[in-house]
Amino acid sequence: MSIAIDPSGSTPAMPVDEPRPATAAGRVRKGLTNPVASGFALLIGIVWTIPTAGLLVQSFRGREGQQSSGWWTFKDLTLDNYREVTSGARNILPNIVNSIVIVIPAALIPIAVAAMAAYALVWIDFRGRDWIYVAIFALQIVPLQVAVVPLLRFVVSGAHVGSTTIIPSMGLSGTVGAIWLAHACFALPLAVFLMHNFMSEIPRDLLEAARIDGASHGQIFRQIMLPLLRPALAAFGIFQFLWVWNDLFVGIVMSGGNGDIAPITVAVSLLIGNTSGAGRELIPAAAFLSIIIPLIVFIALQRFFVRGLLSGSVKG
Amino acid sequence: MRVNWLRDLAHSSSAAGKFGFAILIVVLFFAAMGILLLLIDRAPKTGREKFQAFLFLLPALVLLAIGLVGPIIKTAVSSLTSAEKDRAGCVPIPTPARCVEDAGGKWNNFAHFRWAFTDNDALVSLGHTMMWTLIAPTIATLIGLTYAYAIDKVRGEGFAKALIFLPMAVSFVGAAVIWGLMYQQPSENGASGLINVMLNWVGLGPLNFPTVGGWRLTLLMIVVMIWIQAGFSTVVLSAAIKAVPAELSEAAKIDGATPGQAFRRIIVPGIRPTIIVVMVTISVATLKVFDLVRTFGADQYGGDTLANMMYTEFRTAGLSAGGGTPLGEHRSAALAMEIFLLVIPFVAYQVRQMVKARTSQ
Repeated sequence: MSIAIDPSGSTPAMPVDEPRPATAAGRVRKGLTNPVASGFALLIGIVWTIPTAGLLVQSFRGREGQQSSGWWTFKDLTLDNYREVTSGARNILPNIVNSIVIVIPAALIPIAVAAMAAYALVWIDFRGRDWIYVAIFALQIVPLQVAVVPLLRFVVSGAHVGSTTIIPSMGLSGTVGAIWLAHACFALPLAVFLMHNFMSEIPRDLLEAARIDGASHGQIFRQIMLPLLRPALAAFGIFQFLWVWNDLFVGIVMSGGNGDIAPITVAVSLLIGNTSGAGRELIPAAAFLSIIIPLIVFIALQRFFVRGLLSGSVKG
Repeated sequence: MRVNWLRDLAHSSSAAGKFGFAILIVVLFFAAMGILLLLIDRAPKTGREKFQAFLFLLPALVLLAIGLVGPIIKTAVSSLTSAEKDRAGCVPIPTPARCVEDAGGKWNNFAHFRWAFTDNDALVSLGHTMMWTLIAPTIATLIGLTYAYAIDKVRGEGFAKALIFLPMAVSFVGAAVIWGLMYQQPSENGASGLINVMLNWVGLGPLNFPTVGGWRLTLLMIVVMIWIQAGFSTVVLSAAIKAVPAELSEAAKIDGATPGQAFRRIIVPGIRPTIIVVMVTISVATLKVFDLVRTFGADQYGGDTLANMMYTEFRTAGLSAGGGTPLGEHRSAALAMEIFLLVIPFVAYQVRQMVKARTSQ
């Protein structure tokens, strides 16, 4: 799904984390805030942080401690949980590998495809291009729930009309290829929209100058557009990274119960569903391992993420 | 002999094999895109621009056709046609076909939708999905709006924003574990979730999560959704608040407005379009809520939603003797179409906004 925040459809250049200069207007605004508001802000800040902090502490506590006291007592601290989920029968590292293997092509492929499509939609004049753009954008209307089962059937057995095979099965069934394909397809409407927004910002003169100098569309795309688009590529890249890494639905359907290719979210979800009694103490450690990589990426690249968000988009 | 090594690589279970396959595919993909760009430059002179545009668009159109357009047609057909019917207790040996009573695939007069709107479980799921969509976006937006205004221009604003924003990086599965811990029932050994401990201080009983079931369980899960989405609304609304001309609040202050009045009369009307956009965005995400419900196993306690029920129906559909589609899959398609119908007004609004923005350029 996607949103247009700036009514003009352009990217608001809104630095979010930069300290603002103390202008007169800024001081006035500051004068309007009061202690109640600050207290509320503090409360929200604490309430929003405590749950994750609790998980972190709990993941370092042994079975005994977890069963007999709350995490805030810091009793029974141990590394055993982490040792157990990174080796032996309950090792979840292979699933983290799966997630990495899934996320790289699933982010790169739609970026490249969308950048090319957006180039044609913004810079090449042809009849019906506005309609194509609106149609692609409107495809966000298709919920994953509607698309995922037929896509799985397509991957398993190809496309048929009646008994005629149009496209044969590609042998992707039971491989991560099926998951890439699903994520790449589902990401496209949003990706095209984002790239289109960013590309419309680039001054037309630049392109026209290059055309006059005899550059072809292919050259312009490679040598002028891609370098200029780097922030947009990064913004969408981190978006898609978080989306794919955190996804459960596509992963669980497209991996079709094959634990060999299941991403980490599916593994943790199964661990929760299948463990009762012994082994439950491992869940916090497994869950924390599953969120630590996106958290690091997110904190490190937040700037790009926010930019992508403000240029009008988030998906779900 | 042909591509056996590729197939082996694709099915490799070692980390190196998996990475190798991923890298190979990425390299092949970019090589294909490179060739496409070369083709674009070698386009024939007649109708050149149109042909080039077509090639630029081709990969996207192919993927969209495979991944979205084709599937939605298939799901729509599936939701409107009958399932294969097998004879009960028939052994599909030697020929499976002898067990097929009706191969299915025929128009069945909305039978699956009639089921979806009369079956108790399906109606309960629909009710819960509505409840999610009414509550989660509203509260998440309200919290984001108030928080964004409260921390605006305050020292440490960036840090305050990061605190509420962080859950956006956490998966729903991770969030389910985090909140499962917060909601944990008091056990006989003494451990209890923080929320139950605090409820105990004020003399209120434990939450009985998740066995409390029904709308109460749904409310507890909605809290988690709000926890995740509030950061999104904070960041977007904060940017919008900063875009409101400072002179306006300045003038209000000179006229003796309190901060609350300035907020209600100037800021909120000034950023109304953004507020709507944030609510629409969160609503669309909420309509499809699956991961949280699945991970909490809420369907076992009467806290199901449409998206989760759709998956359950698909999952438990089983196999049909004749290779036709079993009933569960058709019902699952009907539930998916139900979500689709519910999403339409929201996305239609987004498309309208987008078209409006384009024509005003």
